[in-house]
Amino acid sequence: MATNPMSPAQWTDMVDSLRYIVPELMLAFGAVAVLAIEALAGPGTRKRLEPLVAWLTVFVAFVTNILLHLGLRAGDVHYVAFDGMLAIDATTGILRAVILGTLLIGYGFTWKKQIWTAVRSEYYALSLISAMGAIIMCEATHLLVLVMGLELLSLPLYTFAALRKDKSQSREAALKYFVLGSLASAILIFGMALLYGAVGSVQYDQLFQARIDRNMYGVGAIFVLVGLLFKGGLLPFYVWSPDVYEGAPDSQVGLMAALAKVGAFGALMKLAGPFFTAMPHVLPALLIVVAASTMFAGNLMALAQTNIKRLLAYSSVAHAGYLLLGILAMGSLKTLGLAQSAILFYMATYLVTIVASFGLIAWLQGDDGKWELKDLAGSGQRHPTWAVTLTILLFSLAGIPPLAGFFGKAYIFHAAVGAGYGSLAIFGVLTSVMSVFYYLRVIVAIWFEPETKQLHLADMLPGRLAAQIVIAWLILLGLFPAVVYDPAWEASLTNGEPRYFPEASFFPDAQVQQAVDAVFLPVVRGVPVQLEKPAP
Amino acid sequence: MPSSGIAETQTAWLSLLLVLPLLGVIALLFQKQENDDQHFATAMIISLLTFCVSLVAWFVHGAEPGAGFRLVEHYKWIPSLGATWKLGVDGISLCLVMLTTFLMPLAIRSTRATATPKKYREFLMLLLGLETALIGVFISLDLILFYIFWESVLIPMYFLIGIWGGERRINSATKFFVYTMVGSLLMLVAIFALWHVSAAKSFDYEVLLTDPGVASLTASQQWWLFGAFALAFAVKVPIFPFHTWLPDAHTDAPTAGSILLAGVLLKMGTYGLLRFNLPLFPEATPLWSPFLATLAVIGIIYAAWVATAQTDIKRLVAYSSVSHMGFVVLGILAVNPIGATGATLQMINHGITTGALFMLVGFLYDRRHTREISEFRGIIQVMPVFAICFWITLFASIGLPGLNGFPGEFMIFLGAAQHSREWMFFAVTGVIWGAIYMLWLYQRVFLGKVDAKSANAHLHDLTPNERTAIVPLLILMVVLGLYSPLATDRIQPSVDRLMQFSMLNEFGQVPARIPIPVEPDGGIGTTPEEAAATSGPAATPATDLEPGVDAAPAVDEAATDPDTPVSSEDPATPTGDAPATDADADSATEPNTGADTPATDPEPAPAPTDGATEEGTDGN
Repeated sequence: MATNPMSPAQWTDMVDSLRYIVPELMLAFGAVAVLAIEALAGPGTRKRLEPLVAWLTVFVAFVTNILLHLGLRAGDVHYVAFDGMLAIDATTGILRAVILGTLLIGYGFTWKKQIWTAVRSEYYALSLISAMGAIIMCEATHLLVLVMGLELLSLPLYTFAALRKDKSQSREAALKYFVLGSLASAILIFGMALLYGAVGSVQYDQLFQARIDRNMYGVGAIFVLVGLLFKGGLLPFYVWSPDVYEGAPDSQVGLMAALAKVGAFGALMKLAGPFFTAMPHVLPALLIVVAASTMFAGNLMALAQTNIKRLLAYSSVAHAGYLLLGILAMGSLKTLGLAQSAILFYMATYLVTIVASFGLIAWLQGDDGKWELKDLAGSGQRHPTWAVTLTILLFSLAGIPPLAGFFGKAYIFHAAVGAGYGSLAIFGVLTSVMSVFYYLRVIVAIWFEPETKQLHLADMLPGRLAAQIVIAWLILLGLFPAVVYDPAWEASLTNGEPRYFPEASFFPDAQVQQAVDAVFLPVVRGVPVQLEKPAP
Repeated sequence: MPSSGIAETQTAWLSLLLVLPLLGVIALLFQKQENDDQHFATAMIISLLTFCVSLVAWFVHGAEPGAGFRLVEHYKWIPSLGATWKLGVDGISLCLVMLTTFLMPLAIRSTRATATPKKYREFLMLLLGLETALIGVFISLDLILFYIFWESVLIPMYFLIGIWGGERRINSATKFFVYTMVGSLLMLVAIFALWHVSAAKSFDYEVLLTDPGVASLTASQQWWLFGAFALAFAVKVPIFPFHTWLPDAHTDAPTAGSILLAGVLLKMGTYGLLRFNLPLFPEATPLWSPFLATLAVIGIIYAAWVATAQTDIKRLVAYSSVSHMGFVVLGILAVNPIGATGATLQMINHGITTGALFMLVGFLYDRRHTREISEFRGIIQVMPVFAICFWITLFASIGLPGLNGFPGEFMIFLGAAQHSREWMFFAVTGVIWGAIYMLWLYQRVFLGKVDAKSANAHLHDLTPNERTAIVPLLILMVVLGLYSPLATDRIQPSVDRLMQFSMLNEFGQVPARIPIPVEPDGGIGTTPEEAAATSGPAATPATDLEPGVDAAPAVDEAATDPDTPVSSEDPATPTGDAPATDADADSATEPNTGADTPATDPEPAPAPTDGATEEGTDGN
């Protein structure tokens, strides 16, 4: 890194390139504005203005993002700040749109006046910052920026979990999340340091080979992965999810889950290139184990749940497993485009589904977090619209056509089969069937069982509107997936040659099996696994 | 969005078929609940309209002769993946669509017969949604589209059984759902694998049939894919060990649901076997067919035995369905035109017959609210018309000549016999078992004396509503029984075309996949012998089937035959190969032209001008 001061031309360049991250900057300003309103405005004005300002900020950022990307073509990559710490390209545009859209939907569901008297401004400001962090994680091409994004994403999420100040369960959830999350962040930062030692840089495009020390690179990369896998809620770092989801206030959980997932997997998408190239044998093997065990354990444990929030939490874990299968498929050049567009499509459907599912649960008036399946019995009679919406959401999560969730899973399995992970795809498909059991259990409770508890819904117009938008979106994408898939496909092509995917470094698919054997067989037979030997 | 792609029809009849029931669903959505008459009228009008449209499609299909797909509609859908919204019908699928659209209004009619189900509006909405999904399965020509319609059948059926069904409905509905889904998901992975293997990277069925990548799958690779597809279809048909969902689902479904479940849903499985397994994986069929045929035969006989032991009429009819579908599977696995035609015909006929059976059982249940055989005796004395209807249906089900069960079964036997004598033997015994339980059922329920004190004495005969529901089925049973060419005229050409892709000839090759040798243009003055010499297998694109056998001798023969009247006086032979053979023959016939002629190297690529100039000089 040069220690010379920047030349005027470089300054102009940098300021000029800031226009590509205007949506994020808007979110930051929006957060500040919300806090300013809280500090300066009167009580009545505050109540009205804060949601409005937050919503407007996100909406304007959303529109700006679209306008920005209409001007870019696939393959255009625009770097911002200090020689490329953030990369703005079509993929980022799609992820940004998805995050901002999810935020809008989330706001619709949390438009509950009574709860937010005390913590409204915190909620809006923090959610804006958290979304900004998620976006930065998706855009980062420099590990320091990734860490910054991770912290911006996580710290507000820890606070969200604590927003129900009157409930000890909420505080417990927040503490668990904070401690474990901080540990994961620390591991990630340590990994980053090791990578710096192994490569001499933490810029993604330098990470394609371990120039200085391969073993240190391996350890560093794995530590970075650990941090990200924790955020995504994958095995064996998922243990916090059910407790945190159950303890956090109902209306927050959806947004928490969504933002954490998109941040983690957005970052993994960008890191897949460097890591798979530098560790072509070890990484697939490790990720196969993580993906398979996550898909299996997530679904298995969800089968045992009777609390609806814990059930959805475990199902989140399972979905993270499917997403990781997509990341695995990104390790093969043949299916790079397929896998990346599959993950983008999955994000576009899954995030709003999870926000809406938790949002619908949040409408149930009563004790937060204690909703058992038997409490939901018979709600199909009393609240048919609510029940139909939840049913459609659950069918989408289960992956049943003609809803969008089917295509999400289908694209991922499609990419996995092409990358040579046919057996893993079959395994994933079978765990998908496991998931049908518990989703059906909820549906049976809602529709087929007699009522045990009179449920009251505390929904409001913005929430109902948000729910209808989500349902329409799922049905639309279920019938015409090309609406999202084609732009995602265009964005994922490597013909435009984004700078950080040098083609020559990717290994051919046939070696995957050899690689897997090279790692698994020694492990099974008790021989210690050797990381990459330095080339002679 | 389905943008304007190439639509091979003037009017989108098939899309109309799909959309009409959905319009019915939307129309019902806007009606207030508890308006049973209004709901019924809407549903009947829509389903009859759909039937009329399918009749139009029938005649349009008949107007264009030929074996291929007609009324094809082809729109862009997911361009990046090669998945298109492609619909089309040939004889086989058109007959099945007709079956669906024919049974639906009758099923709806039967719901108003005695007791209308509660929440009638939602019931009808689900039925109409089911109709769209069923039609979609039969008319999609794109594998992903097929899969989506296949799975979309699950949701309406699940709710139909689960909400309006019998006592153990939740259990049966869940069993049905999960069973079907497991099989189907493996088929999904196989569909993806097909895409990755194909050269054209497409999900289009017609493209995949002739795709070189798919054609070059080895027998063992085809074995896996065949198995994955077959598992999904085996659960649906159902084939023996995967049949356990059927009795529960059928017994616990409401009458209209049972009619469609047995009448149409089971045919989805056999349709899939015929449409996908046989033509796409022909080399795997002989590997799988002994096993599958054994299972089919076990299904026929075992299900018949279990049916004999039943005490619940509806469960007995459900097991008879399993038994009869075994025949259809046997006909398909025979992989010959007559077997497949018989199987398709039997699909149609079985749909009609079983639909009628379930409808009649439903009528009986509506009166007594029991289906136990022991509860009934001597029904013929109190309900003579009903007894006659049941009589006709029973004999159609058994396969009495003159009714519709016979032609299909007979053709299946012929086909099975062509394949294997043992199959035919077991299949025929299955008919006997079928007669046993059916006739015994009839005897116990209908014949004998009515006990004047029992509830049976006060049963009323078929109401006019019920008669309008059952009579069309009976008419069709007789008509198709006496004149099956009504259906087979359409089915036969399509089956023949399908068999071109499925049947292996004596060399183990699939006729439709052997490339036809291209006759090159020999130019002016080319004699027929030259054309024969140059257009032999040497010009054929290389296949991996016996490559050397046909290709080599002809080339050698042409090269070493000094008597070949080579066109030395014709310099203008344009084909790449011709100059090579000409050059070789040249060097053979004209020894001392130029000792070191470059004619010895038989490279066709740079040859044209070289060969031509050489011949020109040599000829002079």
